[in-house]
Amino acid sequence: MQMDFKTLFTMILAIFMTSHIALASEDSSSTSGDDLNVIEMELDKAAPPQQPDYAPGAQSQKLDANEDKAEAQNNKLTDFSGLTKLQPFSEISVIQKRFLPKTGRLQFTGAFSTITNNPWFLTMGVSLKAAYYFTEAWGIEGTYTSMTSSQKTSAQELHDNNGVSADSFGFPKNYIGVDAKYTPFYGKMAWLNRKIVPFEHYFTVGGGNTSVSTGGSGPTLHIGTGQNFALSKRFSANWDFSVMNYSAKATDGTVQSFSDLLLTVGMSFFYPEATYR
Amino acid sequence: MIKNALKGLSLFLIFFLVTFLLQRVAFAAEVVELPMEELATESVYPVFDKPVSVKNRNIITAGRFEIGAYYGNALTEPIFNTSKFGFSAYYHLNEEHALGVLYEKNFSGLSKYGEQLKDVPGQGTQIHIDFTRAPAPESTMMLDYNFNAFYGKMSLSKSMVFNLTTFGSVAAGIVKYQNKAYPGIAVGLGQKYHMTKQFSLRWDLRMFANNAPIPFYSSTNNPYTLDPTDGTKNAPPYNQFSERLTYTTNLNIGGAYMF
Repeated sequence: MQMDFKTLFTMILAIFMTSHIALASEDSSSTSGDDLNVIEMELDKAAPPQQPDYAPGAQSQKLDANEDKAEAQNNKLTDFSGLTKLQPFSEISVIQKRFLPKTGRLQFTGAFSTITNNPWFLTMGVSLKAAYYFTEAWGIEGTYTSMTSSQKTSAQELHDNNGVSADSFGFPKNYIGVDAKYTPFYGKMAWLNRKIVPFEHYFTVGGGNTSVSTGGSGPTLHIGTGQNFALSKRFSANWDFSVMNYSAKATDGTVQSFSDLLLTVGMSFFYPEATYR
Repeated sequence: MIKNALKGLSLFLIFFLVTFLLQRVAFAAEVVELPMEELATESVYPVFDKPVSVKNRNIITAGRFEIGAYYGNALTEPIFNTSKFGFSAYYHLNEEHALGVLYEKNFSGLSKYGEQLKDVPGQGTQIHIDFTRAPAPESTMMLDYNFNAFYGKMSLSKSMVFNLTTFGSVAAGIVKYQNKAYPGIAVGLGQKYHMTKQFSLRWDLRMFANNAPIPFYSSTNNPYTLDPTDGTKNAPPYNQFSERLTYTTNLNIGGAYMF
């Protein structure tokens, strides 16, 4: 009998200890999801006292609608004093998927380009781009831009009044290059508090070759920044500013340094269909 | 002895079995299995009859004043110094509309092209043009209206979050040259990045349209010249320069403080 008591005591002790071990293992395993823990913790703070007869598994038993109705009628709250003890959330973490994921996808862009810092020529063109994203932040992009120019009034006046041709200043005819694309900013904008537009802000740096109206061409350093506005999961609108810095032969045979500020506005198509988590 | 050993072994086995079972139960409580067809396969935004995208706005602008300073660059100015300094002050009528004034002071001197044209090869001779003899822009003062159409937030690699505003602007006022002041208008687009609730960084791109004196003065059949090496003719008086409508694209970058 004495041995039976010892056995019983040992079993109770074992159950008590193992239940603690089991709870501890739950806690340690859940630390991996910090965001969820924060939300749950805050929810627990504000939650009203739990009903003792409530069990999570009881949902399966509430299949009968009449039973639910009866329970609702019986469950009349009369004590609201607990509401005064509610505390505001001190921190809420919101986890949301990206509206326009890019990882492993190709982005094809068609855009209109114009050079904004040339006082002598109105230079406009078309840009075709193709980008591949290794991650949401990093990608690589190839660009081909073809441009055409016409003289501005100032160039005509310089020629007519002062006898100097602005052609010697030159303008780019086409550019081909490759950029590394880094997208550290992700955000959302609300249009007049009515519609949300997800967007991202990116930076590009790379190089290529520019052909100039003077007949020469030269290796080009290309640095840019821009924004991409998601219209759907496949289409986006975008703009960017980029600087093309290059040296090429001028009309008089000397090598000149050119620095053009290019504004590009276009639309993009993403392929393949996005896969979601 | 053997009996005690068997009892000890049985106790150990019971202990091990109970521990194993309880741990299985504890882990089983964490597993939530849901039918795959009931899980969302993509992210969508909800559609409401009366959509309100921004609640508890972090940056409140309504009824507040904003002062700012910026550096501007006249990207398409051919002859004169393209740099300028600007100051602005606005009153936000509400979250979307702001009204204010801006003042810009041009730097003196010539642009890169203006310097190059001092001495350029012509047809069989060198051409010298001194554009400091022409009237240069001095300052701009305008009444400016800002329409804050977009308000949002952006995060830097999930490490920091800040708000931003995208706005359109329409301005009207005067552009003062050395000879006289001309009426002008400007339209633009820009963004403000709110670093704090008071301080923001801003950039905007504006296109100015105003009458302006043409610096390309022709000395042919005229008693004056821009050529400083021509000892027979003097620099033209400012009233000798003709005028026309001029478009200038400006890129401004600066900061603003709201109170």
